Amino acid sequence: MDPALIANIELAISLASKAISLGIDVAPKLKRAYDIATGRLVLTDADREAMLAEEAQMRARIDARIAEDDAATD
Amino acid sequence: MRRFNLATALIVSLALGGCSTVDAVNKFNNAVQGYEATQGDVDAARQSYNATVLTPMLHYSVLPRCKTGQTFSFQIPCHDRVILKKWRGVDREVVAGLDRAQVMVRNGNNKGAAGVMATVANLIATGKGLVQQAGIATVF
Repeated sequence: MDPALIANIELAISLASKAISLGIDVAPKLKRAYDIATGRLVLTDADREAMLAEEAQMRARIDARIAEDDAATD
Repeated sequence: MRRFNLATALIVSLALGGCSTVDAVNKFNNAVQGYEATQGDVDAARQSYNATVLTPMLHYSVLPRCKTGQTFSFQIPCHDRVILKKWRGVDREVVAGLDRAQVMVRNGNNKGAAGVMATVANLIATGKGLVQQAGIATVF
């Protein structure tokens, strides 16, 4: 088999496994970060507020989980 | 051009794990010297932190709780309550740093904001080190 093809398959597998471990919702967020960093996307105040609201929601879920852990006796 | 270099260094420092995180943070710290952070830099930092740290933390937290003596593995994916709590503790400091940088940028203290962001990058490296030690680096 063509070594270049094998390398491509290996790369595809490693990227796929990375995507699985990170979760499918990470890829668009990383792309957005890249777009902001390169100046292709400039956030408005509303965009920023939405980003902060999303973060707050995620942290609330994590904190709820921690509270569950604290209450658990196992 | 300079802005791009800083933002790239920042994203790389956020996105990478393991020993390379330390190298990337060092590069970031060097890039910050004499630099003035912009609103775009703070936004890029927040967004990449969301993608590479906060989202994986949420994924980790929703795994079943590890039983006593059990550790995370591919076969038995679970979250360790102590690790999760420590990780969230570091996250609190990171958020406070990003918020501080945001206020500084709003007030025109762009140089101060760059310094704060360097501190944030170091905190993130600390958090990632914690995760590496716990053997749950795969969530990154």
